[in-house]
Amino acid sequence: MPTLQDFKRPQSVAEAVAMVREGSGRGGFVAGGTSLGLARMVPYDYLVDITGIGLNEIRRDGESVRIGAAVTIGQLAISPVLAIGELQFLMQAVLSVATRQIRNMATVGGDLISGYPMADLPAAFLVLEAKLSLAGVDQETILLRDFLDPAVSRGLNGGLVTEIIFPVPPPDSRGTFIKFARTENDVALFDLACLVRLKGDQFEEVRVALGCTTPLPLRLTAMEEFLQGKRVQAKVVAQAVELATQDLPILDNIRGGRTYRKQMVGVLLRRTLLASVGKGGGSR
Amino acid sequence: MKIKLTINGVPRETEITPDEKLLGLLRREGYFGVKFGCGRGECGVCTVLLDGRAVNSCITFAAQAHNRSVTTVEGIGTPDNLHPIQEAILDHGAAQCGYCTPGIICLARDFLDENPDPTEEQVRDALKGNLCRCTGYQKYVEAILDAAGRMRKLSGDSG
Repeated sequence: MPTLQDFKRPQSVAEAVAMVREGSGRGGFVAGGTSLGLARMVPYDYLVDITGIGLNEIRRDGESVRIGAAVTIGQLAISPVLAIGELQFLMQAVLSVATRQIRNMATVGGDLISGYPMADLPAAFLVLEAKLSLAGVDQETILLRDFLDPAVSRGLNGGLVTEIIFPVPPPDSRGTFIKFARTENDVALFDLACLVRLKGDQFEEVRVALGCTTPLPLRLTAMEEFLQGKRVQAKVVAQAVELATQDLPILDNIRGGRTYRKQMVGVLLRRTLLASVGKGGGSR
Repeated sequence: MKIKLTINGVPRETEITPDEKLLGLLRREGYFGVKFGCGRGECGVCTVLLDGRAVNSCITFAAQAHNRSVTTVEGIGTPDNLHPIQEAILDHGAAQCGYCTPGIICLARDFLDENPDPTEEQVRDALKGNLCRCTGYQKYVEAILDAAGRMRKLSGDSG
């Protein structure tokens, strides 16, 4: 029995939320559909298309950037709003997502919130301190880092993420994004995103996020706090990496074993940090 | 359910099931240039243009094409009136078995529309989503770079 019986096209956010709600769990939202389209059996009776309800714009709003949840990843890649030096690392993350064909359909919202273990955007948006606007639930916004916890996002079931908002990093910040995969075309073994501000020869602020190699994408807060105010030195970076990788929950699967991943994550963290402060390493 | 769409410039109204994919719809309607390969959005032989952008029709719901315009390789050029991309592929002998060719033509159309003067590296990067097991890509890369030049010339050296 094919389960999918209808494909609905609401005209507004409110209508979309109501359409899913009235099915009490039998309906689901769809945007690019690149993962639902892969499913042998779509786990919903009907889908509600959110690509035609005004969530398709990228705009600068003062010191923030606001991205509609249904903006495609391909749209991000050619957006003049995002084509600024401070967000170059975000562009690297964007272009590292799958293929051109997938980027033309898949949406920012979908990549960030669907919980795909191989999604490339969460790490980059985590260091941007992105928050999500919600519709259909009492809570109006939530930090992406909170939302990524399934226990939290389950509590928001029936709600719709409408927008991704983040403050533009200060002009003196330096961002780096590294995707590491077995081959150029494969899904990531490791995604690392890093945003650093220096004051003289000291770390003023450090944000580091890791994707695809822990059960959930995460910020490495212990490392961030350790580095703050410390001198920019290879020795200090090595200590920070040691601290970050000590108790990290590392995946162990067919793409990479835990021993391998654990060693590599240290190497890549060091490279990412050093690249951010302009000491060796590439941007890829 | 019924959807309205434009296929290669011709407005159509057609009956689909909600779980049907765009690939199935197009082949049922006789557009056999659209190939079935992996069915998982990885190999790119099913690539068509949806409102001018290359997508994998095997994982796109047919319902997503409602009120939109779909272009298959048949709509890019005809044997009597080839598109510069198709000419360049012929001239460079870039197609061997030919199974990946329609998808690559559609991909190249979208890519060159966005980037009319690409570097070789950018062309190779754009081809990531199109598997070709015959050619090793070299001739496709050369053909697409050549096509870019031909298209720039046709658009009248306006740059």
